Amino acid sequence: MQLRKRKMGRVSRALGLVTANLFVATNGYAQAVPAPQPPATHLGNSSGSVTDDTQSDLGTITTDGSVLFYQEKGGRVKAVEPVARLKFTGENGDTFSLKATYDSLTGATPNGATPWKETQTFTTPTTPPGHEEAVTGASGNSTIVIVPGTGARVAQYQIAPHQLPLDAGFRDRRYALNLSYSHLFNPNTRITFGLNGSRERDYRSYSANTSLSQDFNDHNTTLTVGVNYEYDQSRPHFGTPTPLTEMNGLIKGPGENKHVFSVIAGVTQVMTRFWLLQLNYTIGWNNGYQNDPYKIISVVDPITGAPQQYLYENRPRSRTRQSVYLGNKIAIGPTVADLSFRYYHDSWKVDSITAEIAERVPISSWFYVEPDFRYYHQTAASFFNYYLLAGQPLPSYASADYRLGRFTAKTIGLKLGFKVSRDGEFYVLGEDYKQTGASTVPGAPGDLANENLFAGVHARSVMVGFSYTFR
Amino acid sequence: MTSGVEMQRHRFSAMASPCEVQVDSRDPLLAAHLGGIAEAEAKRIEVKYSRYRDDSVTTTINTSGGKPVVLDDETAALLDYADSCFDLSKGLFDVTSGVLRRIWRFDGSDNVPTKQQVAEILPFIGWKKVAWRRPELILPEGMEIDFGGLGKEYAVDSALLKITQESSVPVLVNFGGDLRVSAPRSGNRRWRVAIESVDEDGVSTARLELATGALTTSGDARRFLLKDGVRYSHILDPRNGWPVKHAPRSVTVAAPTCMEAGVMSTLAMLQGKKAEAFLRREGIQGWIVR
Amino acid sequence: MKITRSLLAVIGFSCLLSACSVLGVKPWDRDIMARKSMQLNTHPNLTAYHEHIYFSKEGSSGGRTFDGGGCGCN
Repeated sequence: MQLRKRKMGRVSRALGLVTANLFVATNGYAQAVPAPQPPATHLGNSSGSVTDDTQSDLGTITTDGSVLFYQEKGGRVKAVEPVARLKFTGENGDTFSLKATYDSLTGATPNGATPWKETQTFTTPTTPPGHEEAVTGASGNSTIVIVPGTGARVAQYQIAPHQLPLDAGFRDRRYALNLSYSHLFNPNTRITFGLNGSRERDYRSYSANTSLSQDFNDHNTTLTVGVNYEYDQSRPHFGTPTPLTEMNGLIKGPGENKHVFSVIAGVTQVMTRFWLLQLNYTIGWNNGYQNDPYKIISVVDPITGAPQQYLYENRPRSRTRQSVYLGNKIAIGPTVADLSFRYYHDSWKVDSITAEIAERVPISSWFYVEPDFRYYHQTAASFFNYYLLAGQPLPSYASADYRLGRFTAKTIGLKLGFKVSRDGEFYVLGEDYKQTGASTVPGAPGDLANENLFAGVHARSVMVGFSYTFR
Repeated sequence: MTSGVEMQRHRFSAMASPCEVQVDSRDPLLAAHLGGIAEAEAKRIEVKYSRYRDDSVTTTINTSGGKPVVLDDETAALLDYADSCFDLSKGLFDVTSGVLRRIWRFDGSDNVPTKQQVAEILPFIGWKKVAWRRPELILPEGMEIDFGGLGKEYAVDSALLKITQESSVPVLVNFGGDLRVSAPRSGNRRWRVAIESVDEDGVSTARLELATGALTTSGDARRFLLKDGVRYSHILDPRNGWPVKHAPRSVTVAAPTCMEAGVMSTLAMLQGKKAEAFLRREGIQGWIVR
Repeated sequence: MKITRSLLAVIGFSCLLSACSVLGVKPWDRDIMARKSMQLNTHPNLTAYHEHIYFSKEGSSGGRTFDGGGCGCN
């Protein structure tokens, strides 16, 4: 009799899995065998393809190294960020992972002031003579100036007419380390602990988190609850400016800090054989210093629109943030669609919606493409203003940071994945991210109405990485 | 069958069947040791699950009188398996169907039960009526659990697993026609197996070559009832208590494990005239005799 | 968001949870779910890059996992 290899049907495939599980239960094997093999003449070995890779992670070490190249148009921020990640998964399902990040930033970032038809000059502190070094916020195009009368040494930079004021001295290096450990109490219960630390010249952040996951309904439903505590220290190189005072070259006040506490509750649910859903609710409370110490807001003449002075911004010291996130993975034949939505609202009155879609399309057994699109829209914080009008009473809070304004952002990207061996993948992702927003506001005085006040970014990124699992 | 100095055999009797373990090795001590492992496992399972023994788990369950019984891990795993088979086969594979033997006796006579008799026994059949919440089983009074449909195949797989944990020498474990091989013979040769089918026309033999996997054969042409010119096969549909029409005389199935082969050959038989289509659809290698 | 809206979200959540017990697949039908490509976070390094970029350039954060900074970008 000829024994030919055939594709197994639903019942025989399912029966194979159930039988494998029976012998795990009765013979104490560490792990159930995945897909069953057809018998007799064909000794197949499932090498795993890009679409059907279902190998277990137990008893493996996963490494993942990648670099991000990020560049904003218009000479703005440029960043290179290599990341190395290592994850150990024990035979019992416990995991330990380590991630190290290095972030190098250069370029220019908007300082918050409005553009104007005449040259504008901005004054910042500088280092005393003999202590020159690359600092955040006050080098690059600045010139050192001695202020007549006081003899103080300050740095000044000038912005050409009609240009969006950018602080060109933006340069920083950031190092971050993340550690995470998780333990499986039983096949349905997992606890996770995480520790993070990040350090750059003028900012430090430390956080600890823990979460508990419980499976129900034969691992079809997973409930997760987690808490996170973060402590951030802001130590701007020349000190923390007094909010809503005039921008100047004086050395400023001591560092400030903030505390963040957040809670996340989520459910992951297998909806059907090909649809996985995740629903999360997050609430967080920030308390403490949340200003950007380098950002200013222009106070302009209410008739002409000419800038009269620049004030350091001020944001409330407390912020309550909530978000609801819905994520879906849907398998359609060999492709996988990733669809997600997020609604966000906070006590600063920033409201946003995010919608993302990505479609992973295998081209061959070792190559896939994944185009993606993201749509984002946010409303402005209650204290956001492009500028303040001179002669009006000062508000308690004011910020012209475009990141708190009203804008829409679209990302379009393409990822390519190359399966290098059974356990390795080389991936590259190219993206274009563009923010659009109102270039003016109704009632902008004088010639200010002719300026483009929107300071949103248009950035291109390339992310390249290689991941490999050692078994 | 090939024989020779390289092939050692260990024969014994268990589960009311002739059993044999073939060991591809020149070492008679190793062969005896591995054969002994299989024999011990076969006898252990027989003692534990035989319907005919007063001290078996099966008898304990079937005499529980509707009260809860706490089961050990192995029996619990087998019941979970039976539960999955019931779901997968949409009720065709049912370990509570053994009570049908009280009214159906396939001795070639014309003693076909009446509709009334079948209707009266149906309430005592149905896996759904059993309350199985691991590790506790509640079997309603009058119902029976029968591991007969799984026992021999489970014994083959279990014995083979125990042997392969001891030695990587290729073996063939055969308990009364349900067999499985652990690996191809040395030199990448295949095992040769003969399948005999007995029907009114005599004995027909097929020869199969097996490299890995299991083979089981369902069916026995001699068990039937004949009344008013209608032949009732001994394959009973647990959903209605009557024999399946146009069931094949025998079905031989090849599958990775003996249990899968056993379940699939039983299910194929229960498909009646659609047995061939069922095996084709499932991509299962099989041989059907009608 | 008023507290009542959050309460509605929690109630909706609980209803979803009881509905969850009728959804899902049997263990042997998890072949598709087992694919690496069906994980919720297939490329953790890329997800981290995105969260960092969007946290730095936008006013919202988090949702998928813990939000919050880790850098002085916002």
